[in-house]
Amino acid sequence: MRVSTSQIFNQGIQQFQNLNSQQARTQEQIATGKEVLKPSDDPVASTRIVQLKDDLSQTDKYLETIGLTQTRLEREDDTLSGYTDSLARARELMVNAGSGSLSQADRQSIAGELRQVKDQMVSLANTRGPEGEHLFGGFQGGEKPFGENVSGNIEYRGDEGQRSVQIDTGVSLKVNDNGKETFVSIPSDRPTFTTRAAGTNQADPPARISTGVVSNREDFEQFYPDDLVIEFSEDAGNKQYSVKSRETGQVFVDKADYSSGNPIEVNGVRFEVSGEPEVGDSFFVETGDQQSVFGTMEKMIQGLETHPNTSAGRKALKDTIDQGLANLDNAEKRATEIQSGVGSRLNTLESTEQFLKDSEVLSKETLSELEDLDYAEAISRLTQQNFTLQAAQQSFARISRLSLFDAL
Amino acid sequence: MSLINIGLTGIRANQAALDTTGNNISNANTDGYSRQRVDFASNPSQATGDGYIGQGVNIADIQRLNDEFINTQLRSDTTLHSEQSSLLQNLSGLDDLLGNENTGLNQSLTQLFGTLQSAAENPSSGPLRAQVLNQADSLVARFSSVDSQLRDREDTVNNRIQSDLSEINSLADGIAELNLAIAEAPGRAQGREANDLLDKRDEKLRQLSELVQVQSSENKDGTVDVNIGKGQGLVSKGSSATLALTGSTELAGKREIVTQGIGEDRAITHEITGGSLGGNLTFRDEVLEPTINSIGRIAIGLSETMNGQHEKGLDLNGQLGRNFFTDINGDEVARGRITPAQGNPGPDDREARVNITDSSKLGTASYELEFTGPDDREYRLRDATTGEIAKTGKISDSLPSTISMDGFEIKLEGGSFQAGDKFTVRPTYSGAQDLGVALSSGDDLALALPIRSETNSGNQGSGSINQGTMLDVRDPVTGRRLDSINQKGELTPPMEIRFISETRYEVLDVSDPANPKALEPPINNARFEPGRTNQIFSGEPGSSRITMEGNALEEIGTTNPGENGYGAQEVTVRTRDPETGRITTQPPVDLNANQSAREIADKLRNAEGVDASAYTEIRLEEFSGDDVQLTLKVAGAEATLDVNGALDAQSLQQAIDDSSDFSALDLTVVNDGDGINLRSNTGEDIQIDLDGGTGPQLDVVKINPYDATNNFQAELNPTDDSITVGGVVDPELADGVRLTANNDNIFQSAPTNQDNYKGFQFELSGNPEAGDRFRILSNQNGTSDNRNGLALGNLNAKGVFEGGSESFSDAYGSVVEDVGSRTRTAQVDEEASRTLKEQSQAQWEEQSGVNLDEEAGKLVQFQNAYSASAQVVSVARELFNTLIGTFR
Repeated sequence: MRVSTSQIFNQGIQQFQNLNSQQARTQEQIATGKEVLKPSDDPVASTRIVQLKDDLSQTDKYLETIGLTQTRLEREDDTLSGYTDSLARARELMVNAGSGSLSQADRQSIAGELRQVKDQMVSLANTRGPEGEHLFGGFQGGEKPFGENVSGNIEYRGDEGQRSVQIDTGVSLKVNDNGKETFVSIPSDRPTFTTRAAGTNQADPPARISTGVVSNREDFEQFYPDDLVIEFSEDAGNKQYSVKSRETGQVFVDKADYSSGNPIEVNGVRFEVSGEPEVGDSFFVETGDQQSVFGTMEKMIQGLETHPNTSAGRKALKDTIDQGLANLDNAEKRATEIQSGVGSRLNTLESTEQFLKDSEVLSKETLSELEDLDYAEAISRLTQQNFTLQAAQQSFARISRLSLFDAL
Repeated sequence: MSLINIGLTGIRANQAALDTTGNNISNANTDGYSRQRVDFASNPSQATGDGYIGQGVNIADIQRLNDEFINTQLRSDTTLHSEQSSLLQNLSGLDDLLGNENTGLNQSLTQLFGTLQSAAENPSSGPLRAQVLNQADSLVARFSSVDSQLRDREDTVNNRIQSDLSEINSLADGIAELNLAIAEAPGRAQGREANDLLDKRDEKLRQLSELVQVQSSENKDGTVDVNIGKGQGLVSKGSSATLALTGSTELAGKREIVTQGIGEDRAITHEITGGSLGGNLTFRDEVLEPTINSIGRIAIGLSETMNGQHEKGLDLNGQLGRNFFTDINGDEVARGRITPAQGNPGPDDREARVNITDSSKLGTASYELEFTGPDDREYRLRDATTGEIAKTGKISDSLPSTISMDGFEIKLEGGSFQAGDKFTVRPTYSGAQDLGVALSSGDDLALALPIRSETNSGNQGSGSINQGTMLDVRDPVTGRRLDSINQKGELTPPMEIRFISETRYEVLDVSDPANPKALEPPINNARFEPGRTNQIFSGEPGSSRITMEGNALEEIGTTNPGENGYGAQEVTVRTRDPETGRITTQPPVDLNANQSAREIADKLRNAEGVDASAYTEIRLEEFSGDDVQLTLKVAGAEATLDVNGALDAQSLQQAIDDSSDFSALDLTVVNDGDGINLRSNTGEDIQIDLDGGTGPQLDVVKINPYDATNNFQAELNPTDDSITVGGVVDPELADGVRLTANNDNIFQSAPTNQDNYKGFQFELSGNPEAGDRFRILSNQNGTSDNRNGLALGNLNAKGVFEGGSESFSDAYGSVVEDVGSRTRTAQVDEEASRTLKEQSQAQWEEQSGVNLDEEAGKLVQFQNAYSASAQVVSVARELFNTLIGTFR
């Protein structure tokens, strides 16, 4: 075969180029520690690498969420423990109140202590989570979920919102319990009632209605489940009130003279309206079979403070205390249920965390297999490439020096 | 004398051979130089008596050693290699740009959804909300940076194409000139080739083959004709065509290669193959543009999906979510997707836009829209890369006219569209550029949902309701806002679910809580399956309700026992297929006179796409009379009650309970103090008879389901009076179903379809009891609600493209993989074609290349021959001298 002179040189140079570029690539791999430097090095592996990295960053996100959720649930758990302690304290006080013959002053002092326990419960129910939101407000975590209404009774202002977070692909976990479920909609042992002023009342400052107590259980349960409406009118400058059935319109008290703070007793229910109601103002006594823990506390306090020391009064007080104790039990049962729900969610968090960490290790191993360089192989490859280059250089130098012209 | 001459011919011939060898040595490094060889030939001998005496040597030819077959092979291998290497040169770094963590989109995408997930964990946190917007800004910046890098490459490749073209033009000129020179060179007739001119022309052809695929054919006069690509003529003898690139970087639209100088400019982009020009075009049209389009499609899909989810939410100010990213069909953006060709006939008045209709169906192609004629309405839409026809058709006679494609539509808004018009349609090309964040403050982030629910505390049953799911705030078919939630994020109206019995509920408008009224359209008799999860409200967009507001509504009933007075009617149900628009008519439904609402509902339910439930509700008021016998008859069941003075619900209920016939019928009795409501929840006729006694009187009221202030009343007073009252049916119609009737007896002949789709649903489960209530409310102040936030954060995992099989990351991953594997292929192909080119180059060198050692040998050889010939002359001279000396 003929070989032209320029071919000898061109081929030599071309080979050096090839060897140099191979060497540079090996060198870059060694310097970065990566087997795959660009998608074109291995398109399939590099797509897989991107997916694995996405998975890993998502797993990190989930682990972060789990950490935050743990803090939040632990806060709720602590709060519920505090709340059950308060319930136990209230129970203790009520048992005391029911034992033996207590003087009016003793009752007052127990009522005072109960008030403190109630305040403590309200402040627990208004606890903020680690992110500054109220734990028991449902969706409306920005506002205090429990506060006093115009009559000074505790009402729930949150909603039944249920928040979830995602802790793994396709796995979400609820992170809150609303105040209504936790503190408000607690089954009452026997039928009970709540009082409220109508939202349309005109008086300013608004007239108030007390939480009320059952003064005669037989009468009350006979009347149940009807509701009462108290309406105000005026006759010759004197305020008067009427009490009617909300269902049938039956009138129980017709235009009696009103005096602020005087007890009104209808159908086994006793309550007081105080302040200066305007004509047309109305109040409601709504019966039901649920009572909030705050209602239970308020009824016990009012019972201790207002039941007269007569035989009927003592009977009513005993009923108040019995009902109070039974309802405190129900509240405690509800608190325990919710707390055990929190506990099981904490367990779920822990096992999910473990699972995520295990799968993270696996993903990292796979990633390393795809992406990381086998140094032993790379260095021996580099040595071989060096050797080849050296041999090529030396042989080229020799061949290129040969020329017949030198001999002429 | 002849010996001197013989010697002289030897000197001259070897002199020429030495010259040629010298020339070979000098041109050893000249590109395209073919080594030359002197062909010696002996002179014709002189015939003598002794035989023929040789007369020395002459030069037959100076030949260049060159093989046209090898030249052709070299050119074709060069073209192949140069195409692959230019493709590779363009591709290099592109895969790294897209795939690199720091420059690609992937990390930014993941981070945006990560911040959304964080915000969803703590929806009331301002800093987390701000972080979402920051991350969205940085994602937009990344999109725009990737996009501008890709566009820079587009400019670069267009510049390369331009410089390829000017080189081609100058080579074509050169070849044409050489053609003329070769044809006119002296000695052609004697078969002597102008070696250097041929070498030069071959070299120019070889250089041309680096730029584009070349075919050459030689003419008899020694000139060659050159075609490029798929056969486009470039040089013919002494003339050559000029190639140019249309458009400029400033102008939108694709830049085409045209031939100039021969008649009208003609676009030949699709005919170019091979060489660096072919490689550059392949990169520009088959790699770069689809990549820009794919990235654009991701941006469009991201905008559409995020905006679609975001608008279902409620922001921190209690407003419905606004657009998260800028509108994908904004006027400027939509009009920028279609550009007219430069040569369209005047006036320049066409107005058109391209709207994205569904990014899940959107592809990544660009199109050419051409009005083909013969009249001005016929058009053809072709894929710009492959040239395949995507659609042909005719636009409507009056504008605007719409051409619908998968995922987008071309809307011709106005102007004189005419035969010959051409447009470039690029639905996704500018997607990444057009992406922008529309929200300005973290408070605008709609992480909550606008709805929530509340369970009435007095409920007796165990029914429980979830907080609701938002399906849509716009009608998915028409895009119109649904009116169930207003722009301020308020539920219009707030509603209350009331259970009539354990299996029936109604939903009422409680805008005024004291006076609940019927919804429009009413939901007055919905079925509930106790113990299972029931969906409240329709989940089917386009479904509607019609009301039974024909003559029968006001028909209070007749005194003929068993006849409710309803007239006969023939009802026709038609269904319109949403895809094809075809309307099918179902066999008519015959409603007979005096049929009960239950029977009407049963018949209607047989029609496809129609659901119907019936109920009958009456109210008994103002009873008076002594010893009257009141008989209640419902569907063959009968209960009789002796009434004296007053009618009370409990006795009536008792009478019903005592009769075992009623147990299978779903009846509800409610006493509200003023009267007794009696309701058949299945829609049976209710018959009331009064018998005997004295002074009987009873008002029977048929409750108007649509307007409770306008009921219909009849008075029973004579002894032995009777009335039969019929019920109500409000059929629910599936999407596209319409109901008409032949008269106004039961339904109106053309009843109005009222929207039944509210865009949200609630799940109610458990066992509610009659009287239980659930409220459906606006979620104002729901600052801790994260439901929409979770949905937004999950969009990254959702399939969006290719009919819902590819997520954003998947779509981006496949772009990177595509570019990566193209680069990989180009690398392999480049290496293979280089080997081929090297082989044919070696072949060429073997044939035509100069070997200096060989030439050195020849130098010595010819030098020796030259010396010898000189010696011959010297011998001849000596012979002559010898001869002279003899005579002296």
